[in-house]
Amino acid sequence: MRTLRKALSVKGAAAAVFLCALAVSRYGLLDNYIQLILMLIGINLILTLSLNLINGYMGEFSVGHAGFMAAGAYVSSLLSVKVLAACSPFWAFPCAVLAGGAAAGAVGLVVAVPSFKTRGDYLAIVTLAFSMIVKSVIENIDSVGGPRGFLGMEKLTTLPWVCFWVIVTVWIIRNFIYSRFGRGILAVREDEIAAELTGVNTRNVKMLAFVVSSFFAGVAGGLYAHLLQYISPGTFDIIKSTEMLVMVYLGGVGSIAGSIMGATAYTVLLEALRPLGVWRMAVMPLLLILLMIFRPRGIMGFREARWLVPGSERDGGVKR
Amino acid sequence: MNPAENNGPLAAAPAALELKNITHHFGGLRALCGVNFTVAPGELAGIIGPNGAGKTTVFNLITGVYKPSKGNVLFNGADITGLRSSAITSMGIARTFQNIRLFKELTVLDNVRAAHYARMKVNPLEALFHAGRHRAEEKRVTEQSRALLDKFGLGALAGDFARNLPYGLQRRLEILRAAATGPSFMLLDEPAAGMHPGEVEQLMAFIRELKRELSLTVLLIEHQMRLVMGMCTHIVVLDFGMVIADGPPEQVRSDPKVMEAYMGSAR
Amino acid sequence: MIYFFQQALNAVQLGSVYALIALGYTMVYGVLSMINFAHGDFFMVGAFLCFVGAAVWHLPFVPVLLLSMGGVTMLGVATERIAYRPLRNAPKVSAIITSLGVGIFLEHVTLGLNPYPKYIPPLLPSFSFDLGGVSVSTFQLATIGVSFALMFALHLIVNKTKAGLALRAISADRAMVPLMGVPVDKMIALTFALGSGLGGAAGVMYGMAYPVIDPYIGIIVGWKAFVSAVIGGIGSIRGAVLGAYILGTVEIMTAAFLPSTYRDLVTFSLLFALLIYQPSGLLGRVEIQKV
Repeated sequence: MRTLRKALSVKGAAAAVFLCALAVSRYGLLDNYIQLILMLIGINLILTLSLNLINGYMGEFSVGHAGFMAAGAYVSSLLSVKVLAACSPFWAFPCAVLAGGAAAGAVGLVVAVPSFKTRGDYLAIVTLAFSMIVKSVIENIDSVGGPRGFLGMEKLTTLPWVCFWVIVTVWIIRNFIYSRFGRGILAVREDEIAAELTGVNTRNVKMLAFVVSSFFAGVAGGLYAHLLQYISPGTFDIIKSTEMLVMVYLGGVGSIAGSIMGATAYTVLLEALRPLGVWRMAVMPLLLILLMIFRPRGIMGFREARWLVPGSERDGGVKR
Repeated sequence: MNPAENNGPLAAAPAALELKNITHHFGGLRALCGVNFTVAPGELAGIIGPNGAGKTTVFNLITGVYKPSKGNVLFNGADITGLRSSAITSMGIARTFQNIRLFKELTVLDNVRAAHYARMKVNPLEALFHAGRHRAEEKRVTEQSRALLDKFGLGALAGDFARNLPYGLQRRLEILRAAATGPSFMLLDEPAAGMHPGEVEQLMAFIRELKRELSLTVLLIEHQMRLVMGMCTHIVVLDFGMVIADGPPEQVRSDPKVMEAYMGSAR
Repeated sequence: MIYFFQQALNAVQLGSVYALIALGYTMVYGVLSMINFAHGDFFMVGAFLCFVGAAVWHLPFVPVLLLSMGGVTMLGVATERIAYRPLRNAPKVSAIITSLGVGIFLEHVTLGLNPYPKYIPPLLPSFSFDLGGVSVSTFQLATIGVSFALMFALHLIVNKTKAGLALRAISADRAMVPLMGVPVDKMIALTFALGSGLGGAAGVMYGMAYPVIDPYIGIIVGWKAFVSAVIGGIGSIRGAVLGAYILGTVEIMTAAFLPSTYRDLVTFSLLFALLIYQPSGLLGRVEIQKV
């Protein structure tokens, strides 16, 4: 009974947050700047969770998530500008974002293949190479603007939509981690050979992890494109991937709560340091370096907030 | 366990495990050469031999870590040569490792639950969307895992990280993790390595009990003669990648070739 | 055909720059098994020191080269001491993330000091010889000559000195070496000094070839050099040099015979294919998983 109440209260809180977001955007309760920051936090949160799945839970090191984000951003933008422009945005927008996610997921499948044989630092390079390939391909397609970028999307990303996708992402990634497949990727992180020999089909779980992760990176890309209304290959360069890495490791790997904190802290801090001008990007990494020296596992580091753990797991007395 | 009891009525049935003419090279190095032996269902068999004789390589070939250069591995009559390790595991062959390979940063319970992977009937969509079957399977697997841990003395430690267990219990957990894959055949690679005599005694009792409870066939590699001679009903002796003796312990013990391999040539 | 040789010369020039940077990546990886993502930015600082020496202090070529090499060497050693050493026993990713942080820090400090791209004046009298139709500039000669000299010097240090022996020993087995009385901290500092020094030299070479520099050049050039090290097999010194010249050739030839926007596409596709086919690079140690 207690479990049920707990579960309900988490769901209730999620619903309340969503309703608040709806009210804020409908009645303009917060000024646009704050709303923009909140939306950026949400998008960064989705990206951070997506990357955490690979880097934290599966223990690989992807440096190319900007590539997945790019795939999602371009596919969803193309759809909403060229195909779904006439449809009601209420339906068209989620469809476009979903399609962006699916496209990114398909791209993720391609990166999963080398991960069967290649591990560690070399896989990191593979992901990097892959994101560079995605970027170059876009630069060479003239119909999407090539290096000049692509625009024409309406500003469809709103606070409630971001909120909705954040809740969906947190829920699905949590479900994934506390499932058969989630334990599979944890086992791969701990010892791939032992995992395979205890019956985990490491190929399948790696594919699944890459697809889920890149799907959400693509969703974030779609939201981002419809927020800024302009994307270019340069948006999705190594610096973007680095930013995601910083958020993941700032918050702590292998923890959803960590990702939430990392994405929030990074986005807010970056805004708070805005008066420093270009120097803010010199101060930011200093804070990161200090954090790494004094707390190498990030803010949360493998620990999880209790409300994010499924009820059945909590009562199992299982520490993670 | 009486060897005659196993060999008699079951002689006509296919062997639980049969290695047929296995040869394996690592680059130019010949690790195994024409290895043949069978393990009958229900047996507790052992592989012994000097260091570097190829014992662990045999395990790796059975479990699909390597694919043999030549020869076949049959499991209950079916050819499993060259299958993926996870497929072989899900057919019912589980193993442990010479150097313990637990999932160190996972809890004891999760080590055992992870081993249920192959037997769970949940597809990715059900897991991602928290479907009813996923929840039911999770519940079942958690209960079964807890029951297994409770029965074999690790229940109280279910929530601890595997890396925090003392050495002897890590060994035990590794065996239980293998048991959780639902095997009919278990390969144990030096289960008593690094244990003192008291612990070995406990381990032997534990292996016997597990074998009886899960009606397993067991093949183990071991250096501690007391354990091998005291438990195994069938012993295969490897030296330089070849089988030099194969039979019940009394016979193997008095085999001159075995004596020579262990005492004779200075190695 | 002459066009081809002309491009081949360019390829050797670009390859030399990549090689000098790639050596820094590979040496640090060799002793610490850590990818020093800030190394590309060390190179960038080298290019900016070259700018300071040439445009502000009006120094000639050799002092500028020494200034860049010396300055970046100090930067590398200081970075190791301050940012990486405290993390030597922390999880490996902490050090990697720290190196990313150091990189961003260096980029933006440089950006804060130099808000606009800078132009490096010619360091050498600029004229070219004609070699059977192929024109060879003094810059190219200097780049190739200095790079070969530095690589040869590195070869001597690594293979003929006691310190070099210690470095090779650490890269073979870091756990054992301290037990044999090798001062590991000093050796790691030496590795950073050597690697950063070469990176500083590369900054000068790059500045001569592409005189307009901005604080972000370290990212893309650094990654390319890193790719070189990976192609050759990261951790292998000969591999890094080999990979750098392969990459230089591929890039120049792609740009010469295909639309130049295909350059990165071809480069990274090749890398992708290579890593699938040969996951540890051309000359890298194959890691054997023991079961």
